Amino acid sequence: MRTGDRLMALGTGVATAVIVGFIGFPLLAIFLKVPVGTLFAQLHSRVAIDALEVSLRTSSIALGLIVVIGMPVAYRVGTRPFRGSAALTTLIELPLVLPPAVAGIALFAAFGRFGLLGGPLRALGIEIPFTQTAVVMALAFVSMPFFVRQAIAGFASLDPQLIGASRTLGAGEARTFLRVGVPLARASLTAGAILSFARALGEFGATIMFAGSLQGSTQTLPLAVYGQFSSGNVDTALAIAALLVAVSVGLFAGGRVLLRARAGENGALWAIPSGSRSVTA
Amino acid sequence: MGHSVRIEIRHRLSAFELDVRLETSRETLALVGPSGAGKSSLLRVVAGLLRPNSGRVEVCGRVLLDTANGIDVPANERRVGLVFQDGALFPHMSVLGNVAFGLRARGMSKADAEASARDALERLDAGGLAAARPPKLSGGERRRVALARAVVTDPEILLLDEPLTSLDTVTKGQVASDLARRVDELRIPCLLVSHDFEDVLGLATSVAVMERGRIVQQGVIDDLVRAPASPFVAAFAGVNFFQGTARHRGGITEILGREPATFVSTDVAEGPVGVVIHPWDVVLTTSRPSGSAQNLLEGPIERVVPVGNRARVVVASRPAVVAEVTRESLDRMGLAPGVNVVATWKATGTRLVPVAGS
Repeated sequence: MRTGDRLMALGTGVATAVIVGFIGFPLLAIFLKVPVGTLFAQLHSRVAIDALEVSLRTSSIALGLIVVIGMPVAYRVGTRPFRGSAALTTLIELPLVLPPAVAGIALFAAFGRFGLLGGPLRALGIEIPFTQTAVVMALAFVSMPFFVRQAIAGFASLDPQLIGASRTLGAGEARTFLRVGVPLARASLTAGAILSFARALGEFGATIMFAGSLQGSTQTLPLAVYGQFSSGNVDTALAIAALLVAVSVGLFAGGRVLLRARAGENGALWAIPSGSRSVTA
Repeated sequence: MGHSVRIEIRHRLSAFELDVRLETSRETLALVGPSGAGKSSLLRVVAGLLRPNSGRVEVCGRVLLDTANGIDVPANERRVGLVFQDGALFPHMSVLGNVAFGLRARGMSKADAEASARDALERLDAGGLAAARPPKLSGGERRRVALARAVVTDPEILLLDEPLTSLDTVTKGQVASDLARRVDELRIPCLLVSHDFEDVLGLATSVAVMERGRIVQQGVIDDLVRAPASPFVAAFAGVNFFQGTARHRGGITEILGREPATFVSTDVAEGPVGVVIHPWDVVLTTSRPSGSAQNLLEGPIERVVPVGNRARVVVASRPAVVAEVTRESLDRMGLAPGVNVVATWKATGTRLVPVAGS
C-alpha cells in the first residue's frame, strides 16, 4: 500500500509538471524567442497599433451590446423560467460548441452581399461584410454565450424572497431588476463579462470569414498575429502575441481582484454559482 | 366592513390542494399548523407573489385578486406589508437603504425617504442600526428592521411569516412585544403564520389551525382548547392559556393571574407573561391530594368533550382549566358534568411565553 501511495504521489507530481510545462513553456517561449527589446520595438509598428485599436474598439462595443441585450433576457430566464426558456438557453449557448468558421459562414449567409438579407440591406444602403460592423457582429455572436450563461446562473441563484420583498415593497419589475437583481448578481455578471471580453479579444475564425482582415479596419490582434506570421514577419507576430498574453493575464488577474474586493463587502466568499464556469480555474 | 379581509384560495400544491376560505376583521389572526401545511403559500397568494389556480382576495374593500373576473393586481401595487421569516433584507444596502427602499419605489425623494426610514427605525428602537449592513445583524435586529421596512410604506394589511421562529427566549419576548405594539398602532388587519402555537398566543386574538392545505378550525384561543374540532387540533393547538405577572425569586417563578389565582413555574420570567399549561399535564382528582402539589385549581366539571380515545374535561374553576384524560380514567373516576374535582400540575408543567406588554 505504501508503495502504491508513493507511486501515486510521484505520478501526480510528474503529471502536474507535464501540464505546467506544456502550457507554460510555449507561453514563455513567446517572450523568450526574440530579445525583449525587439518585442517592444515591434509593438510600435503600424500593424500592431492598428490591430490593438480595432480589437479594443470592436470587443468593447460587442461586450456593451451583449450586456445590454443579454442581461434582461438572462434575468427573465434565471428568475422566472417560462415555457421555451430551455430551448432559448440552448440556442444562446450553441455558439459555444459551434466551430467559429461555421459562425462566420452563417453570418455571411444571412447578412453577406448575396446572403438572405443582403439585398434588402443593400437597398437601405447598408453594407455589412468586411466592415468593422461585421467584426462586432462576429465577436458578439461567438462571445455572447460566455456572458449570458454566467448571467443566467447568477440570477437563478438569487434568493427569490429578495425579489419578492422588493415587489411587495412597491418596486416594479424594472426597479427590482436594476436595484436588487443586478447588484446582487454582480459577481456572476462581472465574471461573465470578463470571460466574454476575453473570448472576443481572441476571436479569429468567424471574424476572418465574415469581416476579412483589413489593417486598420477589420484586422484584430489575432488576425494580425496570423497575417504577420504568414507573411514572414515572425517577430511582429510574436510581439502582438505577447501583448495578447499580457492582456489576457491582466484581465483574469484584474477580474479576480475586483470580484474579491466586492465580495468582501457583503461578507460572502467569491463563489461562482455551480453549473457555470469559474475564471479562477 | 372597511377593515375586513376575505380570502378564498384553491391551489394545487405538490402534495395536496390548498383550499382555504378565511374572513377576518381588524385584528390579528394567526394561522398555525405544522411546516408544509400551506401557510406560507397562503401569504404569498395574498401578497401577489403566487397566483393560485383560482381564488379571490379582498382587503379593506379592495379586490386584489379575482381569478373569475380576471383581476390580479401586481404585487407592487397591492399595498401589502410582508415580513419574511428571516427578514429577507437586501444584503447590498444599509439598514437605512433597506427601509427607505419602498418609499423610493413610490417616488419619494432620497432625503425624504431616508428621513421617514430613520423615523420608522426609531419607533422600533432600531435607530442605531441605520448604517449597519444586514448580514451583520442579529436575528432579533433583522426582524425589527424587516418590520420597519414593511410598515413604513403604510400598507393596508400586514403579513408576518414565522415572526418569532428561531429566536432565543429573551429576544422572542422583546420582538413579540414590539410587534404587538406596532401592529396595534397601525390599526390594520394582520395575518401571521407560525408552526409554533405557543409563539402566537400573546400576539393573536384569534387562531386558525391549518392542516394539509385546509383550515380545520378557526376561533378564539379558548375555543380551541375547550372544544378542539379534531384530535389534530387538540394535539397541535389545545393548550390552557392565562395571562399574569411574573416575579422570579428563590429559583422559582410566581405568577399572579388576572383572576385571583397564583401559579408557580420553573421557567424564568419577570413582568407580564403568558402562562401555558398542556391539558395532558393536568391531573384530575376528586379530593385534594395529600402531597404538596404546586399548582391547584378547584371547581365543578362543566363539560366533557371526547377527542379520539381521550377526553377534554373543562373544569369551571377560576380561571377555568382544561385537562385531558383517558376514557378509561373518565369512567373509573366517574367524571361527569357537575362533579367537583381538583386539578393539579407540577411547576415544570407551567410554561411561560412572552406576551405583549400593554
